[in-house]
Amino acid sequence: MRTTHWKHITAGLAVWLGIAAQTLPLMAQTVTITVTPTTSSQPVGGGRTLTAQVTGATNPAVAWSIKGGQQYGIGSISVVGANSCVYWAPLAIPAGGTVTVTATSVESPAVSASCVVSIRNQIPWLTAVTPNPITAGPVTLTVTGSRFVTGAVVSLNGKALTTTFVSATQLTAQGNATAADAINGSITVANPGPSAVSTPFKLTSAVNVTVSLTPTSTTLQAGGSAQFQGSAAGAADTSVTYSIVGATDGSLGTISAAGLYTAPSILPLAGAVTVQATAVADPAKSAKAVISFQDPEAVKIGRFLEQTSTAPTPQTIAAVKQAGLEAYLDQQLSMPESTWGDAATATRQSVTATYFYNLTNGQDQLRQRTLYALTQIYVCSMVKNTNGDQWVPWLQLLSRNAFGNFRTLIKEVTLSPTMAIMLDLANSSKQTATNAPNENYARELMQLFTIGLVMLNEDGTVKLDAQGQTIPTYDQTTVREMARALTGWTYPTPPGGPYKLMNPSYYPGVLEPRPTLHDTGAKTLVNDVAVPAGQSTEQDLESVVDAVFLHPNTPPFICQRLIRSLVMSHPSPAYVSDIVQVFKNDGSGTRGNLKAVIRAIIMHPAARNDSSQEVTQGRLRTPVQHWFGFMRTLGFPLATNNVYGYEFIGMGEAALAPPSVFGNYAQLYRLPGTGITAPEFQICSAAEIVNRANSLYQFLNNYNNDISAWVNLAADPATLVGAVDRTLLFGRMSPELRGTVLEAVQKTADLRTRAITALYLTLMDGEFLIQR
Amino acid sequence: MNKPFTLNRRSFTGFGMSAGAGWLAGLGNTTRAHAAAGDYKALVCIYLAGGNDPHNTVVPLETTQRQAYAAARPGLAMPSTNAGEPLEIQALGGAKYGLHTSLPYVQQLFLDKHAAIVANMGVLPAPLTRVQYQSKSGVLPENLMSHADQYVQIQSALTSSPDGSGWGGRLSDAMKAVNNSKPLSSLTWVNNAVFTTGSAVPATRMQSGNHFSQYAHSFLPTTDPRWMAQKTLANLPSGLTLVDAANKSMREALNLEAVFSALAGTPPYNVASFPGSSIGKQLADVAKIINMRGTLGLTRQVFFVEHAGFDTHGGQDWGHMTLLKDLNAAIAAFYQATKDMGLESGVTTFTMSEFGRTLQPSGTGSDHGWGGHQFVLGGAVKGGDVYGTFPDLNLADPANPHFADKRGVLLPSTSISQFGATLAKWFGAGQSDLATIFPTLGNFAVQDLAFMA
Repeated sequence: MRTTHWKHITAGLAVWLGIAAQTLPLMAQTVTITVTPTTSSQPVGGGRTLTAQVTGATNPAVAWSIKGGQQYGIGSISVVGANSCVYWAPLAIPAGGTVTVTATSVESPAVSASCVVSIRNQIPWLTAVTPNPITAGPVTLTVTGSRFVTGAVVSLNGKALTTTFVSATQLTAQGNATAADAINGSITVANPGPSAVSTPFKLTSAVNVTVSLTPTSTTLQAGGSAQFQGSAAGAADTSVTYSIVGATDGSLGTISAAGLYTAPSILPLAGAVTVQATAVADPAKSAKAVISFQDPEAVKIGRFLEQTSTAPTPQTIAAVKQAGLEAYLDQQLSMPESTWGDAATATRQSVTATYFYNLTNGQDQLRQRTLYALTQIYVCSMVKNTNGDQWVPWLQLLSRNAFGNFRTLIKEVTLSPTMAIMLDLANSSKQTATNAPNENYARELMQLFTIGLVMLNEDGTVKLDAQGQTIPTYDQTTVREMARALTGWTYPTPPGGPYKLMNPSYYPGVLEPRPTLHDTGAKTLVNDVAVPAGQSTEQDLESVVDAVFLHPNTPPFICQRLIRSLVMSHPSPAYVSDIVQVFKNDGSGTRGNLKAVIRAIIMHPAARNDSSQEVTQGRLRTPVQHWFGFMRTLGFPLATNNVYGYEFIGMGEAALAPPSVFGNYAQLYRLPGTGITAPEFQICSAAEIVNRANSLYQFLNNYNNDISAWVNLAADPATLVGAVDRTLLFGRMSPELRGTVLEAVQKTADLRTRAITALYLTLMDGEFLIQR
Repeated sequence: MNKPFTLNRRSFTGFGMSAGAGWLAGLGNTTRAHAAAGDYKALVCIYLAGGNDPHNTVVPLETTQRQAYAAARPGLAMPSTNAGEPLEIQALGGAKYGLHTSLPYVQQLFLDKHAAIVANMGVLPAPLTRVQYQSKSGVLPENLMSHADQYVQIQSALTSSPDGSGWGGRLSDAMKAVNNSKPLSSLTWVNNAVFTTGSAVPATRMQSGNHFSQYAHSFLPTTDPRWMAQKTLANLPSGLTLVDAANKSMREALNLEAVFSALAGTPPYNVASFPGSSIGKQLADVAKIINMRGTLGLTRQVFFVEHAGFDTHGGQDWGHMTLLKDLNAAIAAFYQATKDMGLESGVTTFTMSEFGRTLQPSGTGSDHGWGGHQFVLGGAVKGGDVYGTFPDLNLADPANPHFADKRGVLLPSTSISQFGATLAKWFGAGQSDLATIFPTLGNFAVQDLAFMA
């Protein structure tokens, strides 16, 4: 309801609004009232706060009234402040069952709004029924409780009995009980009117039905089946019905009416299923049995998928099982690439979201895994590469070349406009009186992208001279020479744009040569590669790329980094050496075939040793891998527009936004006090591990994230912990970890708390943090 | 605690469990010789992220210089809309300078001879002239005026940092033995800070207000099932190096949670005096940790906190005033806390920024520069003076050797290496340590700027 007042606006307000006073229209001031709530259901004698909101009036106050005003027994009003009141329902239901409470504007009495209150009887409460239990045949029940009113009706399993009102605390009722009522009876009392039915009072069963189910536990593989035998005792009908606890969509398998359980072909992620036999005679009685899925290949397939994907899933485990390791690897090596969206509309946030989405959900998991490794080595950073349009072509470049040739990768990285922003190659021009070639890219191309600071042996160990000293790969003179050879490149010319000697930044495409900016003098590149004078910009670039590509350090340098990121932090020299041979020659005479290198890294006996006793085995999952790994394995969905960009900063991993070209962690970081190279440990300090733990706990404790598969197993702590072990550790949980988690789980009764405890402790323990 | 099973995952016996447990057991033992209060020293770096404008932080008050300053900075020179008349100080030689109006506490420290100014300091691998800079014939830092690059270079004191380490981290490495390798000797409130990155001593990453509390368990009383389980697991040797290393991080986290939780007592300073700004909260953390020095058994600590927002390209007059006001208030609370702890001379606080800004304004702000003026505060500082060479602000002179270009980018006359080495020497680093920490220090004739007692 509304009414309108016309008011003049003051000249001062008009000035403030920036409106010329003479052009001012008259402004309407409308007074409105809303009452919250507009309807209410209240028990007799109950109170409820009503609030009125007045807009458009100078005076916000209202007057409250009850419609029909003078009539007795329609309740009362206590005014609370200017805008609210408590309406008290009468002690008996008034005629018609409803009362209208109205708020009227004091300033504009024509404006009002109302709440229609339905008055109902109170909900009765039952405390006892006699006799209890009952027997089949005629019964006379005495029902004790409170809030009973005249006209209340007692029901047995929904059938109304002839009821006599004795008092507000007692009723008697007569009727007939069936045999089923005697076994499983439930009494309710309904006061007259709507919404006044008691919660059911469960009668003791006349017979004591017990259910047995055998076997109580069994172990199956995918697609396997097991016959269960259940029966009821204590009643004439000994039959049972079989069911599966949890999802009924077949993902947990099926169980027939005769008790034959068949496991699904893709094993459920929780690694265990509970089946149940329920007595027909008394559906409240049941017995349970647990089926655990023990795949003899669990460790083999699980380890393989941890090296070739972000994490195993029930689907990929089944796919590897079907195809075998090598065939699956070949499928992955030829899987179409995930997409990266439209560069023109990309933002830093959207690029980061897509990076995480592809990592978690991409079908090309091995490519994503390799791309992740490459983004740690070929570092562009949102700190310098601040726009999304730089990132789509950059990630496409790394994705495209992940299984390509290393020489092409290095050449494309060198000519990438995105990298040219990061390390300043664009518009680097020959020495003049006021300008020197930029050395930034030339230096990092050698130090971080291809050969490193010191000479290496083919097995990746550091080469020493006769005096036992390391041998530098280059010096400042080399950096300058390389920088000279790399002069004369500018950003791409936008379509239709004019030819410029030095283009402003533009990211689609590759850097363009500018011969007049190129230093055409003779150079001596790294590894003493002599470049004659007079070469073109492009020819010098090819010489530079060849100089690093053919450098003896490059194969061990890059192979070590890929092994560390995919398989283990501290590979043996023999392992590195074997992969280096593949880098040098893929078997058909080609050097730098990354597809062959990655295949060799994964299929090498050192990677495939599922029962390694090596003390230094494994590698630390990065925060990003840890997080999206558990989301993937535990089946939590990740949206394309996820907002995890900032989640990992406190864990030490500013994904795609490290502070410098050195990345979020140094590729040569050694575990303090050991000789072990373990790059990811640089971001595993106490504060960072606390942030991992706290983010994980908040995620698991968030009701939006479905952990029901685990809650369903939590009634038996050993079943729960066993399932967590099989899913996250492929059954390799140490007895000590198992015992400690089990003890913690047993200390709480709440099933959800138990599930969170088991998952949390396992996901944060070193046995899971280390991929091994 | 119940131990229904043996604490050994793989019947491996070589695992040192004493590292964490022993350290925790030592809590409360404040009588160790090396932890004697008089021997404690802390270096606190307040990093002014974004490039603090030196020209509106310290102003020359001598008439011709003041006029040159005002002529070069129309609209931005103090006094301005938001900044009043500069707060006067006088160097020992008699030259008068003014601090930004927002820095009254710093002014008082200067007058009390507990604050010094190091003028026109920056990333500089070797002495350089304007002519050399413009002809690119000297040794130049790379990517001058780039935040990302200069951020790394000022914190590493290197023009390129082959191992990604910073001079604070390398200093902590050098002091490792003095600290008996105990944790919390190097702390940073900035993720992945280059400054505190070392090779031997890992920096402890801090987050203001979050002192290692874990959400999954309640720490007190320590009967929480998850806490008990985590404590057990973090101490279980597995026989696998990396598994143990990961659990060691959790063990340290639980120990640190215990350390911070145990600090129930009232510190000898006014906790409530710290402002609620980000820099205020960070410095409150620093004070809290310094107050724990006896418990921790440390004699040397390096702290790195960040005060961000100094990239004042526009709206500088108000923005810079606000930033310095917050800085002044945080310093006031922190400095008073060090006095109340009896550590005025043991704690030296200094500012650092990736670069200064152009003298010539650009719109309502100023652009990226190079050299800048920094404060050094503490009882051990030979305060009340301006160190280094205060630049001549005559922008009209195209040959003015103090500027790198015509916009008024200061060409540093003092290197971060000289600045850092002076602090590091006070901290206890030896001559050979200094050469390692500051590899280009040898390029400078003066290696101790003598602002530390």
